[in-house]
Formats: sequence, C-alpha cells, structure tokens
Amino acid sequence: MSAAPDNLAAALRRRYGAGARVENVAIPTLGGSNRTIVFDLVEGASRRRLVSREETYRAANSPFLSPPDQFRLMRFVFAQGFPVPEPVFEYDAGDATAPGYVCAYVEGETMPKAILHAPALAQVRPTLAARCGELLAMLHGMPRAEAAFLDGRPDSVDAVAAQRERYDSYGGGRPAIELGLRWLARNKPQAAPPVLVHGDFRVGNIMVAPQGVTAVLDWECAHIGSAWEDLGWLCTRAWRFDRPDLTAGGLDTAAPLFAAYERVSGTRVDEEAVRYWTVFGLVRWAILNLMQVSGHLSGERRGLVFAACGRNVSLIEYDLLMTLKGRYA
Amino acid sequence: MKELPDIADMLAEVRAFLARLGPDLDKGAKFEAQVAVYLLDIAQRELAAPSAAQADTAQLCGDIRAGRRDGQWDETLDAELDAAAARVRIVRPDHLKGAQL
Repeated sequence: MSAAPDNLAAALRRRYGAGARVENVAIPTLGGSNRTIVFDLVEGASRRRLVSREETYRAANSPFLSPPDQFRLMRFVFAQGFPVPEPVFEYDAGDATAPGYVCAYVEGETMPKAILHAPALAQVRPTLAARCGELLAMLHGMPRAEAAFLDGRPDSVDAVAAQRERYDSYGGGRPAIELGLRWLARNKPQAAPPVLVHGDFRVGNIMVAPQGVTAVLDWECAHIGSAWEDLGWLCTRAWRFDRPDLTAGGLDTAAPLFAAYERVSGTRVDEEAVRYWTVFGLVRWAILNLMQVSGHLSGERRGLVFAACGRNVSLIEYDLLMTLKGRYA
Repeated sequence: MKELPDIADMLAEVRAFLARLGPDLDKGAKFEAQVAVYLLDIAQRELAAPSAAQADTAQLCGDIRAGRRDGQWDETLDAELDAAAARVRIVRPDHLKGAQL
C-alpha cells in the first residue's frame, strides 16, 4: 500500500468536503504516459473504490485524446449503457494534479496472457470473440451527433494521412513503413458510413471477469471512422499474441466475431475492408512504437521499455511485409 | 594491445547480473529488469553480427511514396523483407518462426 498523494486527497476534499478520506491506495506499476492510482474514497460510513488517471506526459504530436475529451466521451458511452468505468469527475485548474479524471473501479482481468490462458476464465473465454462483435456493433450504432467533438481529429478526417504525418514527425526514413503506407493509399476500400470508432479495441483493453466483459478501457484513440477499422485492429496480427492463427484477437477465428457483429448491427461485415484495416493496424502499431522511441531519443521521456519499442519496430515491419507478400493472413 | 574484458564480455556479465537479480525484485522492477536483459541480448547479437552497411533510405522512401517503385513492387517488397528479416535476427530471432510480440 502507498500513501495517497496530497494533490489527490486535496482534489477529493474540494469536491466531497473536509471529511473525505483516501484509503487503500494502490499504484499499478505500468503507467506509460499516465499515472494511475486506485483508492477508496471514504465519506463517513460510505466507501467507494475509484481510479484516478492523470496524463503525465504529452508530446506535441501526441495521437491521443486529451483527458477532458476522454472524460466527455466516457460519459457519453456510459450514458448509452456501454460497459465503461463510470466517469466520476475531471480535474480542473483548481487541482494540483496533472490533467485527468476519476472514474469508478471495475473488477476484472486485463492482462492478455491471463485472458487467453488463465483457467479461471476458461468458461467465459469461448464467448469473448462474439461478445467483442456485439460490443463493437453497439458502439458503432451510437448516435454520432453526440460525438461530434471528435470530427476534427486528424484520425477522423483521414486515418491513413494522420498516421503518415505522425510517422514523418517521428523522423520517417523506413522503407517497410513506406511500403505499408503506399499499399494503403493504393488499396483503399469503398468508403464506409462514418461511426464512432474506439480506436484501441483489443485484448488488453477489455476487462474480463468470469461472468464476461466488465469494461472497455482506454478511449484515448477514439475518433470518427470506418467500423471496419475497429474490427481490423482487433484482428491485427500483433494483437493475436501467441495465437496468430486465431484472427479474432487470439481468442477465436473471425467467424463468431463477424456473426455477432452482423446480428447486433444488422450490417454485413466487409471482410475485404477488415483485412485492409489489419494492414493499417500493423503500419499504425509500427508508428506507435516509433513514437515511443522518439520520446526516448529526444530525452523528453526516457526508459528501457521505450528503447525496446524502437528495436521492436523491425518485428512489426517483418509481419507487415510478410502480410503484404501474402505469406501471413 | 587488446583491452580485456572486451565489450561482449562486459555485456554478458551485466546481463547475467540482471538476470540473477530479477527474481528478487518487486513486480515493476522485475519487468524492467527483463526488458534490460532483452536490450542486452540485442546488443550482444548486434555486436556478433557482421556489420551491415547502413543504407541511405531517404531516396528509396521518397521513391516509394511518390509511386516510383510501383512498377517494381514485388522486387522492392522482397528486398525489404530480406532486410527486415536480418534485423529480426538481431532483435528476436524466434519472431521469424511466426512468434508474436
């Protein structure tokens, strides 16, 4: 157990009164550019487990939604009945914290290895691919007007161009990624109706308990785009972990995922377009790793993991080229 | 006169130290120690590999983007796949078997 940071305790007293206390503080270690603190908010006899998320690092060319936009989006999808941790409040100028928000704590497993293999989840595992299809169909069916604040994001305007611009800003100069971007430019599928896209929907960002998916996390890549982009990202080879043969996120074949999506959305899955977005997924994943190493090399945010990301780009490029050659599906 | 131990020996010794230390560390530090070992493994393999000439990729990248390689698409793909495989052999040789990130 750790002590509650003073700025968190102060932020809570501002909202819940001088008697509000923070107990049972836990600080998960893998933060990336966010600091996460799990704690109990105690008011008199009532106690509520909450999570604080603060953005500790933001690059000028960050691909991520600002914390206020994340909070706004989570409030919208929560109100629509989507499984997302209940947003509680956002930090403001009166707080000494970094930009961020507090939301409800949700029980469940997020580690991919456990979701794919833990005996405790053996019962629910065969249902997960279909559940992912249902959830994505639900999300894509939400009224877009409420998410209009995402319309101006580069990813909403042109997802491929947004990646190309970021890649250039991280230094460019990688022929394999250029080949991927060129392939994407020459093989664009027919435009699909724009929907609210989660943008990082994959094993690792869905919280799973024995009774099913308890929450969908990490909304910082949300934008407006093609429904097939979300399905393609879930099916991207890098997100199949140790089961590259199981297209649907290492959970199952694509069949139950697509069938559930079609049942709930009433829309036929464009499998060719999903495959296009899996290529996009590899290009995007390579560029996200370039982003991590670029922060390391510039000295803005150094670290062992970010250094490893730089060398891992070659692994993703290899998968991308094998896919473009038709040797990987 | 060759100064000893050489770079490979020093890397090996630091790697062994980190690998030994790992199990005693708490969860976060244990993960970082694993990543440190991973980076030293890469450094050792790169040191042992014959040094490849660093290709100047700017021209090639510009050509691909402008479509000037569209006519030699397969040849370009094959050459880059070979180059990527060579890099994978340094970073994580097992990945060539289809292993995942």
